[in-house]
Amino acid sequence: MFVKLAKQSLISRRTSVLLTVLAITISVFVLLSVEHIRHQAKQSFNRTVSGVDLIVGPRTSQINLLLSSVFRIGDSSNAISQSSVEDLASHPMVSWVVPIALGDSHKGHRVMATTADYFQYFKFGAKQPLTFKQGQVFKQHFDLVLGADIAEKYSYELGKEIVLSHGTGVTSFTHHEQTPFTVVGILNRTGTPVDQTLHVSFEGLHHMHEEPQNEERAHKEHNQEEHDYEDQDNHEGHAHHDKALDHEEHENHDEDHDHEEHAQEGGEAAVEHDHDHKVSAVFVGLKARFASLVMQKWANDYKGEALSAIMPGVALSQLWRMVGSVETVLQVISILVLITTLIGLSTMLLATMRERTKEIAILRVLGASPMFIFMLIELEVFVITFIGCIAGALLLWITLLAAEPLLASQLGLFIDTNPISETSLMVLAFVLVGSLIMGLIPAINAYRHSLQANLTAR
Amino acid sequence: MSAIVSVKNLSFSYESTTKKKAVSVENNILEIPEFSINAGEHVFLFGPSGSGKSTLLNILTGLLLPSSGQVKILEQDWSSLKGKTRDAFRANHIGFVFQQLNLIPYLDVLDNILLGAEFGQQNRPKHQLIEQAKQLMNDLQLPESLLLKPARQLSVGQQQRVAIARALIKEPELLIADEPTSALDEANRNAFLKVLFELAEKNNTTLVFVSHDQTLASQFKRVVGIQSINKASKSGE
Repeated sequence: MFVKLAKQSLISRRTSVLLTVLAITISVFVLLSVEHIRHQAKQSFNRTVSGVDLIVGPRTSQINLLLSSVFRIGDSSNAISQSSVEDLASHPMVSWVVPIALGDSHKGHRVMATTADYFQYFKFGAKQPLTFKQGQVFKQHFDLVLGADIAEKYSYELGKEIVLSHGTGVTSFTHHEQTPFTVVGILNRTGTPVDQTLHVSFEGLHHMHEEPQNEERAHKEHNQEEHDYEDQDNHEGHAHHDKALDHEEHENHDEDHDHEEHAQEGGEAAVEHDHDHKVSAVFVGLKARFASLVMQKWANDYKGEALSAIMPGVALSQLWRMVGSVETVLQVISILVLITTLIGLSTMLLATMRERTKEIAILRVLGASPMFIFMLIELEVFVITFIGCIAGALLLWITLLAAEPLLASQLGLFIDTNPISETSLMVLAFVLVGSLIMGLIPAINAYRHSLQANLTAR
Repeated sequence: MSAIVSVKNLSFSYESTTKKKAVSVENNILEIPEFSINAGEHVFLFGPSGSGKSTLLNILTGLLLPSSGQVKILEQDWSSLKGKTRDAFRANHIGFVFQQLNLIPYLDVLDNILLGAEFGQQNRPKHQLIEQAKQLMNDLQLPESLLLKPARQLSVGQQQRVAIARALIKEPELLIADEPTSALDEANRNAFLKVLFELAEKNNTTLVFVSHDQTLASQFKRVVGIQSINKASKSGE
């Protein structure tokens, strides 16, 4: 009867109850999503790269280099030359180097040129290596290894031929149609930007851009490239992302002009052979951890060209601090929203107290204790909040399902779509406890009413 | 005959329990040296408004405790019972019918009746209670089809009768009705009183009927004016 009373009482005031539930739903949604995204983003951040002691790239900010090399977001406006990479590799403290070059895409997903060592040395999460779901590392020039999401999204299988596009926009006008790549490997899911990446060898990349041999074609492509740039300028604002690769291309079909320009920019003479290509960044493994600082200094002092070196862990936490402070603000706002909502809940119940005075008198004269009245109000508070919590969590879940692909492709954020975690349960418990505390106001009001219940009250 | 209600040297002033009304400390609302009601009696308690009727009812039902003196129901002194026991005692032994708006509007009629047996310590199975509710509905000449209707859809006369059913379902020794007929027209009032008397007789319930309307007095064997038992000088003004 206790539960029935609360239930019927809520149903009889359904309009105000529904509005209150809606308010709670929204504030729970806000609170949970901030908490969830924060948690997931941090996790996603921290698991993106591991086992890499240093990332060396052109001189730029720490975060820029981290974003372009690890998250494959934004553009690497500069590049470093192969000779710098070789110098780096030959340093006594360095145990391995994995150069990468970014700049091409396939249907808006980044294509990354690298060496076969990448699959051996690059780690994610808790030093987990990249593993193959199917196939193997690229061996031929036009071999291609797919990240898990790409393979899944487009149902690409081993042996599938894929045409890559120039530039990183979703709509590129320049497709390297003469040089399709063949899928030879598909990686297992990592929950990092690797899943969204197509991996090719440097040789493949090089040959692809070299391919259009006849002048007419090359010319045509140049014009197209200009359009391509404009297009990206307008739409995405990163027109310069792959100047380096572009140069390489020019270099190959237009050698005369390019030598000079290249020499000016790169600060060293280009040597024409397959292995001379610009590199966006280099992942470096060191023989000893403490060598990081030494190598950072080495990179900063490097004479050949302007380099910078970052320690992924440090850069990640710096990036996280930037993002994290925003999230703290969001968190505070969402807590304020929640408190406002709970005050609204309490106000709604208080407003009903006037009409419930009679109800309370009836219950009291029938023998209900003041505690019963108190619990009745608190039960109503609980039911309203509980429904709000469930609805809020459901809303978040649906939103996450919808937003997940977008977050992954646009922001490199890999989130779990299941909003139920230890933290979110804690948050929900906090909301429920908070509502019961706010519910004390109407409940104590009712309790006092019932102590003074006047039989003639009406 | 044993006394169902026995009041000795009762005095009450609101000052001691609530700050609701500006009543000076010396001015007691109630001062009743002696008053008792025997088992099976049907008592008509009348008094104009402001004569302390409501306060007396609050005290008789144990919702208010006297400032001094003794109020015993079924030989049990209200003052000697603690809050919870007092509520349980009331639930078990006293039925109450309000002037109007007796029912919880959003519960159906059956639940309203069952609510009467909710707070006592009687552990009768539910189906038995439902049977009894139906029986009471019959006795009160209410169609059984009303049972599942929300209380707010009933007419005032029907609501007052359902209130009797709710008061009687726990088979209380004492039934107190506070001007239950004031919202009814004459035809309804007479029908209401008729079934009330019949049921009180049938269940052997002591009835205390409170009203300011003396025209009803003729239907009761014992008539008590509050002013005649209340010695408080100028009460409740």
